Amino acid sequence: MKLNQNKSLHIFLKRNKEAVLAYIILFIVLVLFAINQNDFFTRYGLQSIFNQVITLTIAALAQTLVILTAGIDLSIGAMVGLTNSIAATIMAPVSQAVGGEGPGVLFTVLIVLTVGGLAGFINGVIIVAGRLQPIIVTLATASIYTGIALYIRPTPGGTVSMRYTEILTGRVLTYIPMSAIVLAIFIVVVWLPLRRSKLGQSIYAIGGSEYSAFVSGINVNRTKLWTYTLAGLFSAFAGLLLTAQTASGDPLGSGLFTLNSIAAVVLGGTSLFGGRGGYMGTAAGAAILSLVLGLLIFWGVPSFYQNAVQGLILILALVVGLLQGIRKNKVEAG
Amino acid sequence: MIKKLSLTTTARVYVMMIVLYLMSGLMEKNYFSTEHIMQLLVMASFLGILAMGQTLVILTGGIDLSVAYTLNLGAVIVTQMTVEQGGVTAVVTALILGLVIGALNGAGVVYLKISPMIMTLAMSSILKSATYVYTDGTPKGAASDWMKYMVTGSFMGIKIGILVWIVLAAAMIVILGKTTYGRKIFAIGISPSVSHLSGINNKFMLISVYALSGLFAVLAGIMMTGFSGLSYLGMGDALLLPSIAAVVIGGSSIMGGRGGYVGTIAGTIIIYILSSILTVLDMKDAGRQIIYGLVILAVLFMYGREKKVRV
Repeated sequence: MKLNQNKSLHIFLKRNKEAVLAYIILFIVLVLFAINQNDFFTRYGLQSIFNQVITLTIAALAQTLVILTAGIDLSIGAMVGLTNSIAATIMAPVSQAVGGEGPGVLFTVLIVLTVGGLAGFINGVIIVAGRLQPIIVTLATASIYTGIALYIRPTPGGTVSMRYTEILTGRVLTYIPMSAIVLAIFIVVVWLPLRRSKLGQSIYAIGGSEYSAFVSGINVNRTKLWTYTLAGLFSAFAGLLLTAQTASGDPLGSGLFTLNSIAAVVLGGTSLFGGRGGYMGTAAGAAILSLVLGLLIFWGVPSFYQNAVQGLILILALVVGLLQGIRKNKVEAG
Repeated sequence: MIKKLSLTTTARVYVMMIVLYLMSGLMEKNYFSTEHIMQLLVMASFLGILAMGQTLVILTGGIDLSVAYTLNLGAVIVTQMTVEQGGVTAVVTALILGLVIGALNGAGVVYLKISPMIMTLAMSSILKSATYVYTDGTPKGAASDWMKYMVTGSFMGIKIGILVWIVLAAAMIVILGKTTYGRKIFAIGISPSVSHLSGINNKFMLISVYALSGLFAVLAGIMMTGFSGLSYLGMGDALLLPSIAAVVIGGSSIMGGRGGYVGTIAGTIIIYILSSILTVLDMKDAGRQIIYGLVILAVLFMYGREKKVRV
């Protein structure tokens, strides 16, 4: 039994060794945060931090799936914006139609998740059936999804049920932020089973080498189709969380999610060439990107410098990662 | 064989451009007027020049997401410095800065082994901040008279801005088609390892290509300030995705190694013709975005597909 535990721990560490650097950076950021912010360890501090981090984390998990297959999805932000716009627009009418807030919210969530999954599925079909490059296909579909979102919500707004917002952004047991629980549930219920499933294995295999995966009997096309569909579904999750946090729908407010999700994935040590990395690093990467902004605001650094700091962190993390790689190669060679 | 292929693709792009133009003219009579063609081409020249750099970068198998913010920074520097130190100094400084920004992108790609997309994305963030810091949030100054003349002035009935684009485009086409430098760009795009083994200095080539992309982005920014007389934050934001779309619609492969600037010219003009058609149809932004995406997809299906994997 003990041996078995050790073995699984070993596998866990081996799988997530790229993420170590991200956690070191995150630890530093958290220490700086704790030193500077007196209310960091109060219930409000934790709550606001998790609310900031969770949306980007889930969007970045969507991106992680796609990047693991050595693809890229530039429509994540557009799908978040689309689902956010739909959720804020239909919640009230749907609640009225079904005659109750609870079922109304539930229906809305189901509709929005379906739309997200469908948007992702369309990405997948065009990429797989069209034999086209993901980067340019998702660039085009991003434009289409943003357009649809603009039709649904020409101006930011909409009505969001108060209860819905409270449930997703509040606290339980006075201390634990709800968003932390949502994130934990998401990882335990959605991500881990996915990672262990045949599909999860296929995703990693395709990223490692599409040709080898194909030759060893993995259905490459079906796997890719599922990957993009799931990315759309996860983006819809992020859109639903964003709806709870902002209590409105904004078709153009989520543009940054695309680039930030890619940045979070890369910060977390997932390789853009596919096949290496995972959720641990991505969560840390998303947390770093969100928290650094909070830190800068707290230090009174003019907002002008925020983007530069994020860009520099990205470059530095990649350089350190590169140096690690060089050192490792030297050790192996020597 | 490759040459033959690219010819047919380029021909297709031009046929599409002409058909779209005729369609726009049938919808709106005065689109056939010289005046409108001038106006359209002047507007297209900014994107056309910006897409020169993007074409070079994409041909090597990379992508440059920093062009929009390079353009912004170039534009605000030109207007602010024109007032303080005179137009010539301003333009020269901005162009050198464009080269340096691009070279830094290239250095990151070559020496730090950061993938082009991420490197230029990080550079974008840094430039965004730099632009804010430099302007303190509100760009000042204005373009000098000769800058305005360089874009909106006329020479033998043709707007000078268009002539600038024609001259640069001719140079680009010659460099890509007739020089070893151009051949090396295609070689790197087809296979970096093979080009390295055939004695091509990949490092120098890549750094120079990104540097040129920065230079062209600043030049596009200068042209835009000449056109509108001033600069504002976010001047080039709306041109980032079109700069990639123009290259792809023009028939270059996003994976590099295939395509060229001849197609990009048509790709650029197609984007503006489309825009004018949508104006006639009184299409709102939402519809524009959808149609824009659909057009790119349609073009990809026409000539962007890869070969079937066979074992």
